[in-house]
Amino acid sequence: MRKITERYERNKKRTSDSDRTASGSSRLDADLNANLERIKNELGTSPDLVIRRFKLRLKKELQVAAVYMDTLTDKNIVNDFIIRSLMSPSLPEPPDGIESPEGAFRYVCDNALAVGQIEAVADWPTMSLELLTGKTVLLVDGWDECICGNTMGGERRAVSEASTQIVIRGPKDSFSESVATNVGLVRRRIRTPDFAFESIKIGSITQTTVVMMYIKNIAKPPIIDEVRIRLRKIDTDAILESGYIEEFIEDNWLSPFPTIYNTERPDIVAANLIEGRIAIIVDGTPFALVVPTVMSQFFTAAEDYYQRYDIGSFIRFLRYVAFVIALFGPAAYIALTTFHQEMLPTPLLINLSGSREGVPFPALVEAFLMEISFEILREAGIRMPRAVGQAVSIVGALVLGEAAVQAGIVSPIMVIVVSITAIANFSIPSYNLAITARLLRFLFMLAAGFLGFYGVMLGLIMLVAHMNSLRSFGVAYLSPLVPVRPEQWKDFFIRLPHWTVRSRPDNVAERTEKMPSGQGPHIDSDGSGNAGSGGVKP
Amino acid sequence: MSAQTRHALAKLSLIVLAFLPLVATIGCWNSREIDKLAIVTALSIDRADSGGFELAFQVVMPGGQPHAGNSKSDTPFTIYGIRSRTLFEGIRKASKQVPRQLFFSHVQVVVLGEKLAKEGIQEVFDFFERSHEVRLTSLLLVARGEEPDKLISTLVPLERLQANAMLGEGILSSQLWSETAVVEIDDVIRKLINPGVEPTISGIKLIGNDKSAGDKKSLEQSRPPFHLEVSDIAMFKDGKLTGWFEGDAARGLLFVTDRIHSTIMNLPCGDLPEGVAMEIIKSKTKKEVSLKDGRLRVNVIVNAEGNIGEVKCGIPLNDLGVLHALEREWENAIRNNIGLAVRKAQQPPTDIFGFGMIIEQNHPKLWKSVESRWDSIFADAEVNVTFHGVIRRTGMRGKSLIKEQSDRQGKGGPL
Repeated sequence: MRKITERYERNKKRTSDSDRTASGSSRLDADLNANLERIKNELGTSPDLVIRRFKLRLKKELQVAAVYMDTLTDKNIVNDFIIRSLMSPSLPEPPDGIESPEGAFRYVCDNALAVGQIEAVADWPTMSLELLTGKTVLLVDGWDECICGNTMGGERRAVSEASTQIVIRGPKDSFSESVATNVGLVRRRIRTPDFAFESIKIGSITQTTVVMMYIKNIAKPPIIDEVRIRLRKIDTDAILESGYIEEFIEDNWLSPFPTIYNTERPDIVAANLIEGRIAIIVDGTPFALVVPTVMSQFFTAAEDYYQRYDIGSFIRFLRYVAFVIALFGPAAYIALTTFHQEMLPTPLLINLSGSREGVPFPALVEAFLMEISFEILREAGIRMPRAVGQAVSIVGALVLGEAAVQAGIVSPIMVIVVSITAIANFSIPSYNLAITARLLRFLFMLAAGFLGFYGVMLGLIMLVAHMNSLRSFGVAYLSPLVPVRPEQWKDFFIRLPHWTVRSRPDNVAERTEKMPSGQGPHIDSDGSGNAGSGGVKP
Repeated sequence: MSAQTRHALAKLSLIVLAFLPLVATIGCWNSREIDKLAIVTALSIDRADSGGFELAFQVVMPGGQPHAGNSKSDTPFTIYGIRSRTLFEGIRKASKQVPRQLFFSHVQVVVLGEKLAKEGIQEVFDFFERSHEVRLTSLLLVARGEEPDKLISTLVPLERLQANAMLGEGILSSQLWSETAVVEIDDVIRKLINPGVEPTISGIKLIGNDKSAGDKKSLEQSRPPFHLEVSDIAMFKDGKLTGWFEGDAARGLLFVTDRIHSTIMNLPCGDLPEGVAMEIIKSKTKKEVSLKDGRLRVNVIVNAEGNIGEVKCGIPLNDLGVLHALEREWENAIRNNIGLAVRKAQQPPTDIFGFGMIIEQNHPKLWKSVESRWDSIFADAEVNVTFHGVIRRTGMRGKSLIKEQSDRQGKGGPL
C-alpha cells in the first residue's frame, strides 16, 4: 500500500504542473484553443466527448468549435440544426457584414441556429454543467462567451406499462427515468395555465434535476413554501432516486410509517395535483413523490376511481381488512393458542390442539420460524435472476409448506396463518406501507407471545398514539379520521360516486370547491330516472 | 448529527429503556401452549362413600379427533377419576395422573350424581363461581340411576366427543320435544340463592346394556347395545333432590315455567284416545299470582299456537267446528299436564315454578311476612289454567286418507 501511495504522490506532482496553465479562471477564455484545452483536461478521458472544429462560412478565418457529449445528446439535432446550419451555404450574409468575433457570435446566436432553446453563457462552471446535461456548447474563437443549445437526448427507456402499480382498467403509461418525459406525461393530463413547475438542481456531484409541480390557486401556499424550503435545504453530493429526497424532507425519520407517497403512475400524480397536493419528480427515476400524504392514500389504488364506485368501495374496504390481517394475523394466532384458549369455539380448539400435537416449539417460536423463512423466501424471489425463479418457488412450496408439516416441525394451521398473512400483505397496494406492516407484525408477534391479547392491545394503543402524532407537511397523518372530518369520508374507507365528492380535502387544498354548479347524478328529463340527492335543477 | 436528531434518538432510547424492564418482569404470564393442555369437555361429580367427592374428567385426546391426515383410531377421549375432599383439591390432585394441565374453560357438560343430588348440591357450586376458568354456561345434568362417571365415559355414535353428544341431545330435545330444559350452572346458582324459587335440573340416563358402555368395540356395531338419553327433570328443595318429573308432568312443569319451544301432544279423536298429533309451534305463559286470606291463587295463562301433524281418525279438518273441538281437547290435555306438575311439586312442597319470586317482586312486604310459611302456602295453592290455543295449519293434506277410504266404502267418518 505504501508503494502505491508513493507512486500516486509522484504522479500527482507531475500532472499538477501541467494542469496549472488550464485551470483557474471561472470565466471562459477568449482563445478557442485555450478553452478546448481546458475542456479536454477536465473531461478529456471521457470517451463520449466530441469536439468538432470548423470554420464559420460567414467569416472565413473565424474558428468555431461545437462541443457535446455523444451519449447525452440527440445526434440528429446536433448534426442537422447546429453544425449543418452553420456550415450551410444558404446562411444569409448579414447586410452590414461582420466585423469582430463578437459580431459573429451575436449573429450566430440570433440568426443561425435552428434549435429551440439557446443560451449565451460566459461562466465556466455553468458551461461545463450544461455540457454534462447534454447540451451542445458552441465556442467562437476570440470571444469569451459560448452558446449552449438544447440538444438533450440520447439513450432513454420508452414510456412503458407500470410495473408496480398495475390496473385492469385505466391508463397504462408510467413514468420513465427522464424528467422531461415525466413532466410531459403529467402536463398532457392537466391543461391549465395554473399548472406551475419549479426546477432545482440537487446534489453537488450529480446535479440532479428535481422538479416540483403544483397547481396554483389549488395547492396551499404555505405547504408549497415548506416543500420549497425543505428541498433547498438539502445539501448532499448525490441524488440517485426519489428515495434520497424522501429521506431528506420527511417529517419523522424515526417512524416506521411512510409519510411521503410515491408512485410511478402519471394519472395518480395528476389526480393528487388536482386535489391540491405537490408532486416532486426526480430525474433518473420513474418514481415521483407526492406530498402532503395521509395514510388513506396508501390504501387507494388508481383503479378505485376508474371502476364503478360500489366495486371500488368494496375493494378498498377489503384492503383495510387485509392490512389488519397482515399486521395482526400471526399475533392473533399466538395469543389465542398460548393465552386465550377459552376464546376459541370448542371444536376449533380441539382441532388446533390436534394439529399442534407433536410440534416441538412453542407457538411464538413456530410463528417466528415460519414468518422469517417466508420473508427470506420473498426477498430471494424479488432479487433473484429470472432463470432460477422456479427453483425458489419449488423449494418454498415443498420445503416450507409440505415437508415442514410432514416432518412435524410446524403445524398445518401455522402454514395457513402465514399464507393468509402473506396474501393479505400483498394486497396492500402500496409497497412501502406493506413493508411497514411486515416490520410491525414481528413486534406484535412478540407482544402476543409475552402478554397475549393484552400485549397486542398495548402495542396497538402505542401504535395508534404514534400514528396520531405523525404529520406530513403539517397535515395530520390519520386525517380525515383524526381530526374528525366526516365531510371527507366520502372518499376514505369507501368511495362514493364522483358527483358526491364535491370538495377537495380542506387541510390540503386552498380552493376546495370542485363542482360549483352542484353536479348530481344524471336524471332523465321526464323525471323518471332514479333521483339522488342534489339533482340538476330544472 | 444535528441537535434535533440527537434529541429524537435520546427520546427513542428512553422509551425503549422504559419498556424493557416491563418485558423482563412480566415473563410469560399465564402463557400455556395449547399442546400442554388437557382439555376437559365433561365433568362428573358424585358423593364418595367415604364422604368426599368422586370426580371424573372427560379429557379430549387430540390425536383421536377426525381431521385431515389423521387416520389413527385412538379413543376420542379418556376419563380420569379422582377422589377428594374438595373440588379444587381433586383438580390439583389429578395432576398425579394427567401429564398435562387440566383446562376447564371448555367444559360442555357437568353431570351430578344422584347420590350427591340427594345429599345436597350447594357445596359444589362455590368452586364454579369462584374459579375464573370454568364457564357458568355449561349444561348441567343429573345422572339418573347410574354412576355419573360411567355416563361421561360412554362412547356414542355420530359424535366423537361424547360431551357434544350430551349437549346436542340436551339442546335438541328441549327444542323439539320439550320434556327437558337446558339448565346451565348459573341458572341453578341463581335459583339456589333465591328463596322464592327452587331449581330443577334435567336428567340423563343410560338405556340398554351398560356393561360395554366404555368399550370402543360397541361402536363398531350398527346397533350399539346402549344409548344415552336426556330425559326427566329433577326437582330440588334446599339443594336436595326430592323427586323426578317424567313425561307429561315434566311437560306441564315446562308449560308453567314458559320453557316450551316445540313439542308434540297427542289428543283424543273419536274413539281413539291418541288419534291426533298436535305440534306446538309457539307457546307463551304468563302467571298471575295473588295471595288472599293466606291462600295462594295462581292463574297460569298459556297462549299457544299449533299445527296438526298427524290424524289417525278421519275427521274433516276443513270444518271450523271440528278444529274448535280439537282446541278444547288440547286445552284439556294441557290442563292435565299442568295439574300433574303442580301436584307433583306440592308433595313435598317445592316451589319450582317461582310463584314466591313473583310475589317477592310485586309485593316485597307481603313476601317478607309469608316467607317463613311459604311451604305450607305453596302446598295448598290453587292453580287455575287459562288457555288460548290456535290451530294454524293442518298440513299439506286436507281430507285424511282414512276418511277417503271410509267414504269410498260408504261408511262415513267416525265423527
